[in-house]
Amino acid sequence: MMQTWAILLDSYRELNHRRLFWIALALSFLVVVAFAIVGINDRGITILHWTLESRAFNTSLVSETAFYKIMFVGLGIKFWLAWIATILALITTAGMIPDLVSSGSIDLMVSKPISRARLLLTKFAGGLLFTALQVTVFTAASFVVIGVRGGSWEPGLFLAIPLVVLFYSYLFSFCALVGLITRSTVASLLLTLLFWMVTALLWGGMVGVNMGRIANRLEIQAIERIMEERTTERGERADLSKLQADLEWQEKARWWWERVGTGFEWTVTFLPKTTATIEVLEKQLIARADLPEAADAGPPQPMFGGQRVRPRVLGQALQEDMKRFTPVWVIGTSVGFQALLLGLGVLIFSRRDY
Amino acid sequence: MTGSALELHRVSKVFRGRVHALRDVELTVPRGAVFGLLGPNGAGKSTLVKILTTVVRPTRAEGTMLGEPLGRRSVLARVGYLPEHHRFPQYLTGRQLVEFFGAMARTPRALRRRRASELLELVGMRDWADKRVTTYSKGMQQRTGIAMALVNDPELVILDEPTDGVDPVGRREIRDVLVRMRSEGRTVFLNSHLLSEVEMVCDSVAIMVQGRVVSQGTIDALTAHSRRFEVTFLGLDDSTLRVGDRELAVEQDGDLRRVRLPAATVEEVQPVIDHLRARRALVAGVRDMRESLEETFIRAVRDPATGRALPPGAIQGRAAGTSAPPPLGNTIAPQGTSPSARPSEGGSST
Repeated sequence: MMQTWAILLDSYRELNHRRLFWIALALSFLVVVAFAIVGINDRGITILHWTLESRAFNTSLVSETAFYKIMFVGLGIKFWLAWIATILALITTAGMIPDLVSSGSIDLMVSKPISRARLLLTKFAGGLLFTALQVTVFTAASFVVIGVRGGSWEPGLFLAIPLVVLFYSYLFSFCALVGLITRSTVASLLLTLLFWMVTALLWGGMVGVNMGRIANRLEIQAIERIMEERTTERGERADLSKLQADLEWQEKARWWWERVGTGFEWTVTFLPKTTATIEVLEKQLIARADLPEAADAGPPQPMFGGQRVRPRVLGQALQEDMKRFTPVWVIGTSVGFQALLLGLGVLIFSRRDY
Repeated sequence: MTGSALELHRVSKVFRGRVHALRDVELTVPRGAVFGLLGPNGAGKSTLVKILTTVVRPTRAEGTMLGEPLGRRSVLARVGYLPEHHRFPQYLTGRQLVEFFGAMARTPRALRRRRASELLELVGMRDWADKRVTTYSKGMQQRTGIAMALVNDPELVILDEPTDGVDPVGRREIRDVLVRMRSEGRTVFLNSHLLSEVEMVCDSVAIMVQGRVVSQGTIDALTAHSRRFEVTFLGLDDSTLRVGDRELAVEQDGDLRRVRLPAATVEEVQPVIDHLRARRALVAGVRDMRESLEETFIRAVRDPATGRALPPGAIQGRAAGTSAPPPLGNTIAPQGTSPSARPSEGGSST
């Protein structure tokens, strides 16, 4: 344990030495302060002592408590922690592993009685310290703001700490592996940002393709239903040629939707799910911290849809379909990928000569 | 303590399947000695040190370090190491650095704190202990590095170019620290280019050339073959002296004349002195001479076939046009006497 604590303390000192660490922490604090000075009353939005009067947006629409909780999830988690703070964290910590394995530094570390696997994994954990500290400060301050200003003390908010750190760990494991292989901070940072973008796009792509697949399925069902109704009504006189042509086209399209959808799902299953993890957090906060449904986006807006399927029906079907991706699946498969990357990193680190 | 701190057998390292950095290195370092590893650039010294400290994995290695099989990580808790071209974390102070690496070597907290203070004082860094390493000069970093290497109270201290970048006063102080380490019973493994320093502090040395140990032993043993006596006198004009069955060339050295007796013993010198006195010459001096470590080193790294220095760097496969270095062990063939030979320790002069 002595060595583990020493590495973690050293990681803290390393982060502490970087100005960006304190800048990011100060920015986090400022975001919470901004939270605190904005409020809502029966006349509209308040900023300190001023009120921006609004008939559309006041406590008749959303309570003061709900207002702060929505701000916490919508702005604090989804915007600040999941985007801006994560990018700042990556910039700050991207150099940790390349610095560890740089010439002249690595000799000092690996010549000590500690296994290389433990050394790398502890250093990795040290890198997560940054995000852990950021999220802890942000969540604790938000907890106080929601308690004092919103009048609701919600310990469930602290669930944000492990889940945001977990979300960050997916990216940092990739960053660490690239840093270990290339020994370059810039390469590891840029490739991680690219990787993050790709995983987010793939997740979005999978959701989009799922939507198309469901729309296609519902469209086929609708056409078949209409054809059946018309046949029942008009018998042999019914003109089904256009419907038949549509059905044939949709059947052909189904073949493609199924294959593309399966391809996306397999790919996404293998990769970490950054977007989905934040969605898991959001859903958990809605459930545990008594967040109003308004914080939830509601059924996804369908991008696809035929003439015969109503968007609302399609949205609900998609929402129902997305329940397949349970929190356990989202987190389990993401952690699996992370474990794979770290395992590969440990293997490379253990076998490499420095 | 008795026995060897290091026993290495058949240590080899081949990088990427073709660069032979080390070839069947055989080495013994006695406990409690200051041992110097010498060699030109690219001879494989640092690779050997990195194998000892598990930074590099050997292709093949047998042997023990502090009585435990080579490569066993637990033994590193009893080893101190200062690498060449080290890069200390710039965000740490000297004290934090020493304490951090003490913790990494599993030194209990109270002990490492106490030792950090003592050692920083020992290396003359007490006043700078709480300043960031980034403010240190190269010499100050080396001193701090030595404190770092000693924080876990090691039995074996491996120092790779410890005086690199250190001023002459600092070098002297580091030499004193090395001597002190020896008096404390530690084994010091010193990797250095500075032959004069090695000569001053090391009990025994090994010379590596192109990945092989070509010579090892005490400095006296390595230079013994070059021992000779030099007799200077006044009063004879002969160009040669015939003493018994030996014919010695007489050299002019200002007013003095000089004869040399290669690989002679004290007993062999006596007839020469008797001969000179019998012929009424005045014996001005008798000096016991031997080659310097530098000369021994230069000869070891020279290609015996061409007389030129062997190319630096590891051998890639069988390098064309290069001869194999001289064979293993203390077996450097004696050469002719050198005018720059030094008097040996305890050499007599009358």
